[in-house]
Amino acid sequence: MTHGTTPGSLMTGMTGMGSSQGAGNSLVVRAFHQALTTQAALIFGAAILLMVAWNGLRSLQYRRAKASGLPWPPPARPLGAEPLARRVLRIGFGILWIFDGLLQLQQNMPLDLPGEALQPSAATSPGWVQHLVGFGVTAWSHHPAAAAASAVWIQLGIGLFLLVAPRGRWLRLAGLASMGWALVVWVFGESLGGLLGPGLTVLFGAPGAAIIYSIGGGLIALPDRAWIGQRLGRTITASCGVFLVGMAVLQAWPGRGFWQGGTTAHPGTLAGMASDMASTPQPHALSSLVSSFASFDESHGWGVNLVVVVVLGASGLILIWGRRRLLLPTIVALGVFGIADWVFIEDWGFWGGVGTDPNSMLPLLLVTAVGYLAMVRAPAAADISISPATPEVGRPTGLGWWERIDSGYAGRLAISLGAVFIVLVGAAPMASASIDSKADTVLTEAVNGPPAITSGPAPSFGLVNQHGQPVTLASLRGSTVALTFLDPVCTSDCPTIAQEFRVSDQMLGSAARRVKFVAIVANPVYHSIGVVDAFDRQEGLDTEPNWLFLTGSASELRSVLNAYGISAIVTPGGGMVDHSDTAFVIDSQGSIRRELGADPGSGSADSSSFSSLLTSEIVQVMRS
Amino acid sequence: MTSRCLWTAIAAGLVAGMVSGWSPMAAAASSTPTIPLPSGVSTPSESSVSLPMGHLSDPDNTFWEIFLRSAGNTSWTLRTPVGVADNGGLVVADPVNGPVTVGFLPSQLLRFSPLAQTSDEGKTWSPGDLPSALVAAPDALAGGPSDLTAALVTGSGQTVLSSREDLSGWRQLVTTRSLAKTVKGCGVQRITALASDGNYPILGVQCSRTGRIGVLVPQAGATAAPTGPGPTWTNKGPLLPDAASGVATVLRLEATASASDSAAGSLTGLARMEVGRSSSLVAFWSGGASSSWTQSTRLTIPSGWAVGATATGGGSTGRGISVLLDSGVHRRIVSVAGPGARWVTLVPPAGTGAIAAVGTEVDAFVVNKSHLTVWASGSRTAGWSRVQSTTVPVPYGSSG
Repeated sequence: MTHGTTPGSLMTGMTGMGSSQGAGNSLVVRAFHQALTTQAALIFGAAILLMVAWNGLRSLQYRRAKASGLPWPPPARPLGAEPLARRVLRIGFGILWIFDGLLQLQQNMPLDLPGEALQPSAATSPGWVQHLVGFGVTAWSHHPAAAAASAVWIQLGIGLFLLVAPRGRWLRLAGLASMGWALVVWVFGESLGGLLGPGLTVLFGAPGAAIIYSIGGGLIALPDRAWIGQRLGRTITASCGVFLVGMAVLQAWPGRGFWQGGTTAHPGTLAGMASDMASTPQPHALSSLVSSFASFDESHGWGVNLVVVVVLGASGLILIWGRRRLLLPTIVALGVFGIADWVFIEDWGFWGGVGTDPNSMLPLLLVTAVGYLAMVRAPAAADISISPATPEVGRPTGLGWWERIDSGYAGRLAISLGAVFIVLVGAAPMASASIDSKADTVLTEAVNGPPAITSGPAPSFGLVNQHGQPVTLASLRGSTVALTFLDPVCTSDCPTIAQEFRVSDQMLGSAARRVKFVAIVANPVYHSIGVVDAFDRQEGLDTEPNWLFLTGSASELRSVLNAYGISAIVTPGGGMVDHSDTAFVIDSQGSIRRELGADPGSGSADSSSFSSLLTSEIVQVMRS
Repeated sequence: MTSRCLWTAIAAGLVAGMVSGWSPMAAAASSTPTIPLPSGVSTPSESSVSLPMGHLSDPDNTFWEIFLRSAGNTSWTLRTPVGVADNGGLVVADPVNGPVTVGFLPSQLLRFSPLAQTSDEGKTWSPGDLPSALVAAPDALAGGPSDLTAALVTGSGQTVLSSREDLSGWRQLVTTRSLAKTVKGCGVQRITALASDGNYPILGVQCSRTGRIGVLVPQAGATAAPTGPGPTWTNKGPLLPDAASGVATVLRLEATASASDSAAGSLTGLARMEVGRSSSLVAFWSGGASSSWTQSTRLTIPSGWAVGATATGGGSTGRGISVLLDSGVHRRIVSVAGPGARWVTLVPPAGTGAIAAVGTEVDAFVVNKSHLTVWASGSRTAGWSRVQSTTVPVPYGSSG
């Protein structure tokens, strides 16, 4: 329970206390923007360095050319044209990645992505999938600003890399980067595209946009020679056909609710999905379109599904068949169908504040079209010259690599290096976040405000501990005291705060010997030693040597609570005692040095943000 | 390649259909029927009822309330003890003689059960605590005329604890596991109810052996001493008329008069028998733990119906049993007034969530969020009359 500041409290005037979630969000958003700004500065610095290096290279080339009597500028390497299909693929996915990276800039991403996008997508999947996703959710939730900023740069970097990478090993590396990151997103962000959950349908994004990005990246990573002839294109179109026929069978499967329209109260599967999408925050005109489709499907569910099954099935069969004359009209028809699905059912995929991509239909259409292009516009072997290191005809041998490369190649290489740097700028904090089990302190500050630095004697008290032995504040002199107020029969916050104290104790390591973690009962009704002991055993605190849970008579407790400005109000029958969630750090001389809001919010106790903050404040007080 | 791809596609679709069409709900099976917690108890001196109020679809905003009504009074008074969140439910021990004890079932992060006791009809409560969590059953607590209190808690299957002090100094009396090994003729599966004859707890259990209701009593002369080994337990429960009656679970067990009373330790109980998917109810009475039993006729629970709430007491003898049956759409109250009486069926007011039997009257409690309406059906009147309407200060949002 968060109770804010009470009149007369020591915490009066503490900024952020009792702040709304919106204000809390603003702290995290600020941290997100700070992370972005810092990383942008790094990238800007790297860009300057690359520009200097490129200029230096060009100067060296110029001097060498003049000294050797070689032509300036050096002639471009006689590369053949890039296979059209591959060029469409890399430009298409490059633009998609950049668009996705820009979507990651939305300010709701740091706090809302796990709860509103990651967890719901995993909710209907098997336990092991939820466990996998839980790993990503925990990493993101504990480090929201760093994770959100990382996702921005990784995706912008990959997009840029795909757009500018010179052909050869650099472009293959870009494809592999795209494939790898998309797999990470597919597993941890899309719950394997919901493949193992109920209600799977291509109309709503199966098998997940990220797996199609990953396939696209894999195709880009293929060497140029793989694009020679029609074989690759044929494989791509046939594979798409297999997928579409499978999805048609799934769509036609009885008992899954796609054949029924339903009513507003009990809509069929598709109408229900569309209605849910229509409620996503977005421009009214767009939600009206989706609502209209949902209404239409409610009354014509059988017919709509029949059209879907026929289009998917027929398109799939033609793609598998591979009859060239039928491919183009099929792909055009599939494109119209896909765009309609994207607008009327997938609802563009990226509205609502935590949309991460335009869903699966666009990349699926892109890959299918690329398969077609790879068949009908397949280059011959002679059309492709693939080695950037091939010496040009007429150029003297024995030149260094930096002398052989032309300006176009050098420019693309420099920008590619920049793109790789951008990816690394994002990937490094993301990797760090995924292995750091301690949550960022900004999370607890978002709920409670930053700790207040104070100075003044702590009100004295004389109570008994969980063993019935008397304890006074004076008897704790010489130790730094982390003090809080807990209800031993509380069902929500107090057990969490107690665990946070225990985690803080562990974080302190050997320094914990000089610290006492003290709680005072904040329940005027239930304050017996028996109930305190039961709480300690419940929380595993009964064996902690430096843990004290103090109690006394109702009047003694009331006096101490008043002195520390803690409210404890008995609510009507059935309700928990309403008390302040507050912690104090008292130095070894008995002065209060820090006041912290201790509302745990929705954080995790074992590795919470509050534990990190409390530990940090205790260490500062011990050092001062 | 074409035909291979086609078959692959169809196979993939079939597999995906089977995977996607499978629902965990379909595989879910309930092996242990729950015992409904809303309950009423009536003694010659007072009646009590516990029931959930608030937003019943939201566990954090469902709050249990206790209403008491003293003999001679016509209205119920809200007497829910304060200081603990009771979203998990409340268990009430309301013995014939002795204080009323209330146990809070744990919810959210709380894993033990605070207690509260009153001797002045809920005007003031004294706190107590159990070191473990109470089992969610209406008779998981038992009190008596002496200061003996027994509690059925989780751990080792279930464990019975007893206290002869003011709800402290709890000691372990017996566990389900030890009973399963030592009690003959039952095959104890779980303990489901406690009663107290003033000297020692009496256990209502679920037996795996068919044809017998499990009511375990300690050997003669046993007392709940604070130390020493526990007693030997014997199944003295009533035999069912035929062995095909199925597995019996004791839903309610009340000592309707104390051992020191002239009625010599009367017990009133309710058991549910299950054979396959069919269930039936039987009420049973004893004039004393070792004396003969009287049983009601067996009442078959229609398919699709379940027990929603129970009440003991009432009737002309004060030993009645009432049950609220719920089909999800319709509800019925079935009552039997005492030994030798027949089951009577009533159609309760819409929305009835709990019942209590006071004298010859059955009270039906209808909850609409914070509002409670009490309807009474007397034996001499046809239909229901609204006798009370009240709004309860439900502490919404205090447990979130």
